[in-house]
Amino acid sequence: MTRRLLHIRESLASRITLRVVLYVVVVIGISAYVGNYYVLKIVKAIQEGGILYAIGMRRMAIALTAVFLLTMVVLTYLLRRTIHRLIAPLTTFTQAADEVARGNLQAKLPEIHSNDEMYYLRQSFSTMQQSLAQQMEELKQVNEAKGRMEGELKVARDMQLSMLPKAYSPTADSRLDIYGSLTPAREVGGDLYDFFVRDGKLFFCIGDVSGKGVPAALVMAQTMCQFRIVASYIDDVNMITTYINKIMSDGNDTMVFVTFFVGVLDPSTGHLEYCNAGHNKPLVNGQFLDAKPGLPLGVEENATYEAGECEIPVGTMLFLYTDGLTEAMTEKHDMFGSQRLIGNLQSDLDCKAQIERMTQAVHDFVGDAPQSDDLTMLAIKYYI
Amino acid sequence: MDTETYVLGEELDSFNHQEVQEGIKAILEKGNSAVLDMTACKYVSSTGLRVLLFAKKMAATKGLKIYLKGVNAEVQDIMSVTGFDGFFDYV
Repeated sequence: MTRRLLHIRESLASRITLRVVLYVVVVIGISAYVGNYYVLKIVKAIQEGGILYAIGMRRMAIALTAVFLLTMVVLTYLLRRTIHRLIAPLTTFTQAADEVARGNLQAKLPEIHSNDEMYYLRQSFSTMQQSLAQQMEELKQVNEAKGRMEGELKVARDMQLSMLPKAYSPTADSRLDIYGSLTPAREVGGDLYDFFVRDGKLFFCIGDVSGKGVPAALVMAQTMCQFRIVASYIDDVNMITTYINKIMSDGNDTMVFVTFFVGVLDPSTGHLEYCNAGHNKPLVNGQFLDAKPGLPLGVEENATYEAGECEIPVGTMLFLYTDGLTEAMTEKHDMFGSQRLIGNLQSDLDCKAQIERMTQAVHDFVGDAPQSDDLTMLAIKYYI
Repeated sequence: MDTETYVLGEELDSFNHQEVQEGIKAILEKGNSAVLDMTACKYVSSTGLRVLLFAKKMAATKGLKIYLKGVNAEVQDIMSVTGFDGFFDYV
């Protein structure tokens, strides 16, 4: 104890050596003394009585040898016992280590009273036990939080996908054929599309929030909401875009931007008006629409936009997508690209079939590579 | 007005956007306009574009500017397609 307080480090080696030397000195000292007594007797006997006495002294000599042998045995025993006692804690350490390996971190450690390597081994072992226990507890908490997070993300994904409008099939009342598909790269995504009919016209949009995952999903929901509200009372595509942009630019400190394409189609005439805010140009009948991209939403509050217009013939497909389609990659980083996109457009397919075909083409192309970006498509056709 | 140059690497994306943003911020906070040397830059992701937007906005609040230098055809294409033609100043 005093030694520990004074921080004097002992060494197991020195202790063992000290003990050994002590025993050797004591035992050999005693046997030397005893042996010496008999040697003197033999010498005296030889001096006094000659060989006869010497022969009689043989018993003495045997006794002498016996004494030495006994000395060796005692010495060996004492040495063995000393070393065993000093090293004994190691067995307990081994058992404790096995216990810890089995998961019992409370395994008992031997009490060490010396201030040598054994003591420090015990300290280190004890520290290790505590550290392991702490880490396991932390890991347990992290896993619980992770499980909760995953649960919440699953719910969020369902909610996000249910926000999207359902497909339209041509009916007697509505001669619109619309189909949309959105596959987030993670649990939730930053792509969006929306469409609704108001005053006999089809208002639709497609968009891509910069980024992926939860932050992008928050802005996606906001953008969809804005589109619904603004397009519910404003007919002009330029104004719709300008208004939504003003709202999104306000307070946009993190500079999240949304590429956006909005269109208004009058199915009674085939007249289409559109506005492009930094988004991929849609395809009409396999050809890119002349829609020069303006600034994405959220970049600059006073940004101005150009509206475009054209006539869509009956039964012609308008195909909209986000860059998750053209930039879908294989493991070798080859991209799907516009050529493959155009190559997979087939004019006689209905919207659902077309999107399913395109989806399959992307899956076949990408193979086992993980999905790198949200994949979104919207196809529109009208009949009279 | 003094300018200081910040040199970008081969990519500007979600992996290094924080670092680049801090680097540009440091220049602007000294009161210097920033020249972003993008000669080595081959790819800018949407997160990367956000850094450029953030830099431009921050510069404007301090009465400073940022300039893009050495933008290659591919990166310029990415920016054009996203509607950023004529949005940035070049040098």
